[in-house]
Amino acid sequence: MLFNSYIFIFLFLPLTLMGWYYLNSKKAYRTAKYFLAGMSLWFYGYFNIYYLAVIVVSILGNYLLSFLMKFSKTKLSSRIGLAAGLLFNLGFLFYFKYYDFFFENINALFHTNFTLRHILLPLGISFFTFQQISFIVDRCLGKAEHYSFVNYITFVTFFPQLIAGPIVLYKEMMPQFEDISNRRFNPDNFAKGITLFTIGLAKKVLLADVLALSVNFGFDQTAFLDTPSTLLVILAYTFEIYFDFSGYSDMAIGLGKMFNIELPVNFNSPYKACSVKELWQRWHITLSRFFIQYVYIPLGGSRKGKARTLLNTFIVFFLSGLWHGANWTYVAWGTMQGLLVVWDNLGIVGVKGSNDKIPARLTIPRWLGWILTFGFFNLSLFFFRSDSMANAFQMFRNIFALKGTGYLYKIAATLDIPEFYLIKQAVNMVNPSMLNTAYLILFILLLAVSAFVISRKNALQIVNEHPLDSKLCCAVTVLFVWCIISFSQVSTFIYFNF
Amino acid sequence: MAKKFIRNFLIGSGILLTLCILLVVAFDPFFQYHKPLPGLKAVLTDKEYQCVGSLKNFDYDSVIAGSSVSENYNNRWFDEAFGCTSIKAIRSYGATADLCYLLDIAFKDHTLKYVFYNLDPSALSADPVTTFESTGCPMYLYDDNYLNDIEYLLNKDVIFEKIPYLIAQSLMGDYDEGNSYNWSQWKQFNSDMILGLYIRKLSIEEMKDDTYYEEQLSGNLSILCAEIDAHPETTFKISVPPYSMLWWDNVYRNGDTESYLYNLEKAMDKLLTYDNVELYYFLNDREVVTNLENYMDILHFSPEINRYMCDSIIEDSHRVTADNYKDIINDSRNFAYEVVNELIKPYEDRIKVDIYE
Repeated sequence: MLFNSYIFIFLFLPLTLMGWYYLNSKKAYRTAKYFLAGMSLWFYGYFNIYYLAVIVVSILGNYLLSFLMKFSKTKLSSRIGLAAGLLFNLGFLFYFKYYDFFFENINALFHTNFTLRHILLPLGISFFTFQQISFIVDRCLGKAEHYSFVNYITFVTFFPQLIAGPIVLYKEMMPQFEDISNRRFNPDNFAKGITLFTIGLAKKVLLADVLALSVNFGFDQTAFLDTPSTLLVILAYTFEIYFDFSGYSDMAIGLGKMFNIELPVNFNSPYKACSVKELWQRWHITLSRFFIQYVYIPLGGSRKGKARTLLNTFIVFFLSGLWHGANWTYVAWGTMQGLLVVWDNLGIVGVKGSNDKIPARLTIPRWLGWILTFGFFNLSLFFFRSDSMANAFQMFRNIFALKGTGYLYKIAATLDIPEFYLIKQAVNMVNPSMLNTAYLILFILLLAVSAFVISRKNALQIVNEHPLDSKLCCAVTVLFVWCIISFSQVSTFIYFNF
Repeated sequence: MAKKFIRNFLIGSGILLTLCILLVVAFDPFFQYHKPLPGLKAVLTDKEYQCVGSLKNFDYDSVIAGSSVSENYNNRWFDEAFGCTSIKAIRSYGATADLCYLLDIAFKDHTLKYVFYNLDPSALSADPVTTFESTGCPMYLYDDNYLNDIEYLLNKDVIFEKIPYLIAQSLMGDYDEGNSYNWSQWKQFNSDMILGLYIRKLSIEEMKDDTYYEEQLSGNLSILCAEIDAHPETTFKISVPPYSMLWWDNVYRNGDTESYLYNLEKAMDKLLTYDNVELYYFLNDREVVTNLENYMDILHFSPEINRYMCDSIIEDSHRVTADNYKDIINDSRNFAYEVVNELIKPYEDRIKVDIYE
């Protein structure tokens, strides 16, 4: 089930909220948790019942291991448990996400003929697997206790964070579910939750999904793009991915607030960063947190000398790239990020006013740092968005070809959004030859609005700093309704195919 | 303050969403709930979205059912000639099950005098199942579930585009209600178009057995015949449209000539057993089919040909009977091979071949 769907907003969410608060008001705390877990499983299995089997097996496997660790008395048994936990979870992830990618490359490299399975990737498997790895590792190391099944399943399946994060840790979630004071309806949290959810929804539906029209068309036509269209397509994608992902996180955090559960911050205005290192302190924060705690520190972190620190940093970004998808494009993207963060850590060039422990040998103004960081991130997204390395390289070639064929008009014309319909008709009546220009203005306007939004306070800052007054309520209401009527579209069917 | 915020949000959203719903229900551009409001026209341009609603709610006593080649008929040609009030039931691909599904909707609340049914040869060899869902049609308009109508009622395309379009076409435009779903306005029909769009297969497949599509044929005929059987009071005027001779070439290269002719023969044989069926056949009309100036692509002809077909039906020419249907099939066979062996030759240097085959 998607957050941006009628069934979620008009049926699932009201039912879940009412059931949760009703059962808790009757002091049926345990039943309330089972109810919440049951609803979350419905949310997860809504698209495909097979997904449900996958997550249930994953939960049962981890829970069983956690139970068995009760009997672990020696270091050896803890290590065996740890190995088993990692093998189970990473094996699970490998099978569903990386099997085909791995054997495709083995086949290409060694001319073997392993059959690919074309397995349907279960939604959010990377998120709930990492979430459980964090628990099982700490459990095997004796840092986490064994929880009751209802607590465990509620923690893993809590629907706001189930499909796309934030990646939560048991130690920040379990106490909140246990705290009885969180079970009472809290109007302040609920109002803030509505606001956050609506801002996230608007970022996703009104910005990301509209930008995606041009971006998808552009990346389907890489061979035809000229320099200006390539640059604007990647700029549009840079905005799209941020609005899409951070919008989802805002919605998740907002939904959490409606249940009085604080989910961790996942994005903190990353495009305001003046270095790649800083960008990664602001972008997908819970993923970085996971990698730092469960990869970087176990590898030695910064305790084993400068060279090893840099290598560990690079490994984290390499793995982060691979985590995003089973394709060399993601590996290339992660590698680029890793190299730039390593470069930042070398301390050769830094931005003025940064809070690095050791000042850089050469400092540049913050505005220059911002341009370099934002520009680099844009370019790196060629790899992230392309479905093949060849397409990514084609996009780079397009930039350096320095040619203008007017393809930008075609890219802009994909923005055939209903909000623009009356203007389009008016231009058509007055001067049809101006229609292309009108679309281009719309495209640039959309990019300008996107730039404006990322330059202002982010959703969490708005919620935390702005009073819940009628002005905010009015804006949230209009945005909410605008989003709702944007869920469904009227498609154009091709006429002449028999 | 928070309580007031929540209350105002819920009330405000409720009011705005209700206003959106009322607006859509009132204008109802897909005609799901009622006929056009007084003063507004029945603007029908999106068949996937409007066919079902218009068939449910309009006043009519005859249906023009068919694929995209039927869209360029003007309803008035039939209305004036046969003294009826017709409406179109159009479905791309013209799949039998789809058209009969639409006819079922029409028959549910209407007694029909005529069904002008376009029988595409490809519809006889297609799977005898409805294709609405598999081709992404808005199923919320096709079922009787009012809950999923929310996708129609709260839809900004409908609010910002379809309703203004309905109003503008009704009040300012010169929309002709007889020309519902007509697509010919900005299209060109000439030999350059058809020859430019036809990508000829380089290879020629082995000719399939006559009965290659027997299963599909049988399924499609039983669906269509069930419809005819169930409505003896309705006259079914069924016509096989005049695809261009390049279509015959394409069919030959796919190895389908004999199986398609077999399908047509069997269909005629079966349909002609009904008293309430009149059959018309244009596929061997050499004058039309060999003149490539009539076409946009290998299937789609100009509205003048639609007019010609309608006139033929009115005059009862091109009529297939139990006495002549075998001759017609034999003539079609001769014509099909004449096309590939002779008639297409002068055009071969203008036809593109499929180099990716």
